[in-house]
Amino acid sequence: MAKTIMVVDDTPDVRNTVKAALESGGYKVVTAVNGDDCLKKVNVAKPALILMDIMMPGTPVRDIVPKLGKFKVVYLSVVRTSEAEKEDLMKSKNIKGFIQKPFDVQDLLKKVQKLVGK
Amino acid sequence: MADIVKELSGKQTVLLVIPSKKYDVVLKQTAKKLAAKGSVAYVTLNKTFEALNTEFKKAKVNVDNIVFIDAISKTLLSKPPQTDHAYYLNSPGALTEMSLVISKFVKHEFDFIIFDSITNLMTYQKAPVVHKFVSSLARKAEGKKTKFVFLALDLPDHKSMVQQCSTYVNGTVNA
Repeated sequence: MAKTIMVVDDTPDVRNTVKAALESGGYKVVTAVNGDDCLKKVNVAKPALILMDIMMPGTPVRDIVPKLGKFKVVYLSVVRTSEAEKEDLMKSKNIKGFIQKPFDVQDLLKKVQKLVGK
Repeated sequence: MADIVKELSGKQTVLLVIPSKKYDVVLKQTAKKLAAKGSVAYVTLNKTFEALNTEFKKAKVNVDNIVFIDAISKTLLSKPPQTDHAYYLNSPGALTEMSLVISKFVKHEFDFIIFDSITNLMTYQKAPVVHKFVSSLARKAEGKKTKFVFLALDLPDHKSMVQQCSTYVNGTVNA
């Protein structure tokens, strides 16, 4: 059965592009428009991985991540941070990576495959 | 590369349009040249104060002459570093707050305000809102000491936004 990936981003273009790439890689994709929407959908979708934009309207992502408990998260970030800030952002055990935007869609697919398998 | 100091001569507001590949180099050069000339307020919508401060120091930019208006760190980090060199906004979408803070720097007669960038603002706001905001900022410079440099990336999707914003400023420069 196809593994589910949740894409959380407030930008429709990013959601659609990442969704299409992941579907072409054989994954089932669920999308959410922000962190609050993610929290509403996550227990039903039970994704193997959540790809989450780090800056979105609504509840800040730093307050959303602890509520996601066991679900694995990879940050997608257009924001540039210092290395120390990046380490701070990755402190939670469920954060598995940090991908800087703009990213190559094939690289993203490889990273997802590495984290959750095909 | 355009000489930003020369371009600002006799102008209050300039729109600097930068190809994506040159963005990092141009913004450091711009900050370096303006910080060498006077006081700078640097509005950042996609890099944290700490990231910028570190990058600028490496590029030998005189960061002592810069105060960063950081619209990112407060949302992203639990505890942004407290410093006299950074003013933290609640979010990059908080335009009223951003406008009020920028007005304070104009009132305090900072020499330059660098707005980085209109392209990033488009991530958080729709085009008409961005146009209105840029227009209002450009008007703040009229008859004042402070000169504004608006940065924008030269992207195909944003051509019309750049064209529209170029009508609000005294000059548009391709970096």
